[in-house]
Amino acid sequence: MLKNYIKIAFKVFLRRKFYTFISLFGISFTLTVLIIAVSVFESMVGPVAPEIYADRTLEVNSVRIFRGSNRNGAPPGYDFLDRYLRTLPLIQKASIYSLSFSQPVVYHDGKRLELILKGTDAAYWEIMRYTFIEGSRITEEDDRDANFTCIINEATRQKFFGSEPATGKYIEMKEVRYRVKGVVKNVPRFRQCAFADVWVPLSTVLDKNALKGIHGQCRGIVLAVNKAVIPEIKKEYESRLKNIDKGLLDGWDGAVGVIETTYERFTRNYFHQGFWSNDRAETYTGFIIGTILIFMLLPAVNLINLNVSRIRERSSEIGVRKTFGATTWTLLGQLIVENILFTLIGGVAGFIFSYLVLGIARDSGLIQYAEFTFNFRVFSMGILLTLVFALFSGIYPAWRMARLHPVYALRGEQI
Amino acid sequence: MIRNILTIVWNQRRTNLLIALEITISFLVLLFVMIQILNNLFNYLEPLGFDYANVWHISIGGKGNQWQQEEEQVYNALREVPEIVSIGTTFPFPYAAGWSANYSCNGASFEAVNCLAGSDLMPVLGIRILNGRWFSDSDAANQMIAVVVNNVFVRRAFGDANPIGKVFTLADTKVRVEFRIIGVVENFKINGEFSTNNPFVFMFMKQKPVPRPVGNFIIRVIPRATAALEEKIVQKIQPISKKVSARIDRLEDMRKSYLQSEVAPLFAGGAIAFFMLLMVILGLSGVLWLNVSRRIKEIGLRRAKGATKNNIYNQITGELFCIAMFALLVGNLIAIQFLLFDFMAFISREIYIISIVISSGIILFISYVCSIYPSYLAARIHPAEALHAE
Repeated sequence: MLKNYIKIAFKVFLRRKFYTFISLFGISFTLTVLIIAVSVFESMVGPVAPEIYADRTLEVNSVRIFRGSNRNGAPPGYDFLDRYLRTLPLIQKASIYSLSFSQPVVYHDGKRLELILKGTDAAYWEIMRYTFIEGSRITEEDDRDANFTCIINEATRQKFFGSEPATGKYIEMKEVRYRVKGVVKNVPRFRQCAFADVWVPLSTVLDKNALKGIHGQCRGIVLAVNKAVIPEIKKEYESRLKNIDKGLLDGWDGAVGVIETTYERFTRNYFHQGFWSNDRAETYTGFIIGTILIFMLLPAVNLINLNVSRIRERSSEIGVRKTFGATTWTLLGQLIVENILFTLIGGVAGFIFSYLVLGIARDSGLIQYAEFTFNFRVFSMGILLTLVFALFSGIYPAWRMARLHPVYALRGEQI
Repeated sequence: MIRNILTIVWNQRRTNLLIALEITISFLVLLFVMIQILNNLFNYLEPLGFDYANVWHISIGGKGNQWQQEEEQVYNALREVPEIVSIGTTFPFPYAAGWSANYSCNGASFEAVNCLAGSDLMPVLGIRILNGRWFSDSDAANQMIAVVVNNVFVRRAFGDANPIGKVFTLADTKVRVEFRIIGVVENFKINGEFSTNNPFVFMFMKQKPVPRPVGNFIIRVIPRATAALEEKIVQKIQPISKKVSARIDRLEDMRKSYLQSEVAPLFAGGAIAFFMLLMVILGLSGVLWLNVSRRIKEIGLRRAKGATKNNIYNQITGELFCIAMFALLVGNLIAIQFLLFDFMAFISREIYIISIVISSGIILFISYVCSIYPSYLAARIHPAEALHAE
């Protein structure tokens, strides 16, 4: 039966080609935009290399202290994270990395090179799984002994050494010479945790005077044992902040802050929410679904209009089917299957177009080292959106067609 | 004629309602995009109020906070570089995030962006004074903080009156600070080309004895300076102390990345809107085309009864025009609701109304374009052929 439906559907598609083209144009355009959005979103917050554990990684990006109505929010300091983050229960690993306010600019061969530098401990390299092109990662010993070694990304290697291997060579940054220990593949700029041009051992960049106190230039990441314990870790972290050692506060009344997933950090930045409230993720999810539906509205109405005006063309066929005993429901099913099939063709075109558009976006260099993934999750989300769109745009015309009275339908009249 | 069209449209109300719905939604989408584009365009056309070319920002990073002495030395070292035309102090600096505060002035209370500025800033950024004067070192002696405001600030607070010498305070009355206006500049859009031309306040920054905000210099260099000069300046600063490290950023580069980040979303949104409208144009033409081919008999009869080609053409065009008018009426009613309830408070009324007018015009034009080909097909129908179509 399904085979028959498909045969009929193709006959209908080929009957008026210009018309089929118009419908496909609308469908593939809509799905292209949606698939691009899904892929960009997945590339930004999804579990993609090197952040393969992104769904159970929690970040501490800032802490806010308050006194009366005065508030001061800033990235946390090393001592604070060492005492309150590294000791959290239910975690596999905890890492502290530093991101200085003043990033190095290096002059090399009369060129100006701006670099983003991160100080990292050994755990950082276990939570983030970079792809090494040469050399190896920063180890426990490197951090303990404050070895002046560094890991650079491919782009930085290109800038300093051309395409030759860099391991063992030296880079000078902020008056310090670092020996290159390894080279990793570029990470897109929008991966906040993983992105950098140069990684060095944390102990070589930590300002010893700035260790004390709640604020500093550090960030914390922990890897939860599994996804289910995340709420427990959050609760524990928040209660620790409530009972924070007054010595760290330096005269302020108290501290608030959250430990958050990559997705939550993303939503917080999006809504420009302060870090004291962490319940925005649900709002944002609702917002995304709403946006998708609103975006689909115009293409769907467009497609509904096209399909409705096509009823006449098929009314005699429907009349015959009905006369020979097909029920409204059978016809409804058939017409919806037809529409799904049609939309899926548009969906395939959508995948191809979005792949091309994202390829252009990547090569334009507008976003540094941008890389967009087309993994299984993006693919299945794309298929889901295609089906939603098919139903959204197909049910009303199918319902009107299926309800045609056989007598009028056979006469070729419109209801 | 018009009554005739109205009757036909009414008789097909269910199908036409869907078409009207499509046009209404298109109108709202277009309106939204138009507001964004016009708002950014109008902002862009407002003069910036400063000159970014050949201006560099030097930030001095240091460990700890006790390096005021080194700051002095850095300043002196910079003065020895012949390629540096002038040195100024300001915080924050253009294209970096601006600060804002609420002020109460002459009975009005409003938000203004502000920055701290030294007496040496004017030549570096090429600021033009409209009225009064720029800061001088003698302003440090005053009890009240000397300020220079922009023309938007003056218009908001004083209208046409002369603002020089007037005093105002912060809106938060708990903080007792008084500001005295000594000069007026034209626009100053510190956040960049696409930001709104907001009220702006330069606050005088005493250089001595109170330390200025440490670690920021803004310099104007000779034209066409290369990275070599950057390196030279950094190397001049570096030996001053182990505690100090310098970083230079060109305002031109900061502007470039700022413009990129502002234009990219507009471009993406514009492209999506363009394809959406194209989709609507194709869709409506398709619907109309099918409707015409369904009505061959009717049109043939009209031709046989003496209607000219032009009459038929006008009829088909008129029908879609009539539906589009209805859709725009609904769309405008919705759009005006937003205006009445101030959902669009961040957009000026003029821009909103201009956007409504332009969007309505484009929608009418589009619906005419959509009906051209179907009307042409309908007008071509030969009565004899049409009447024996069955």
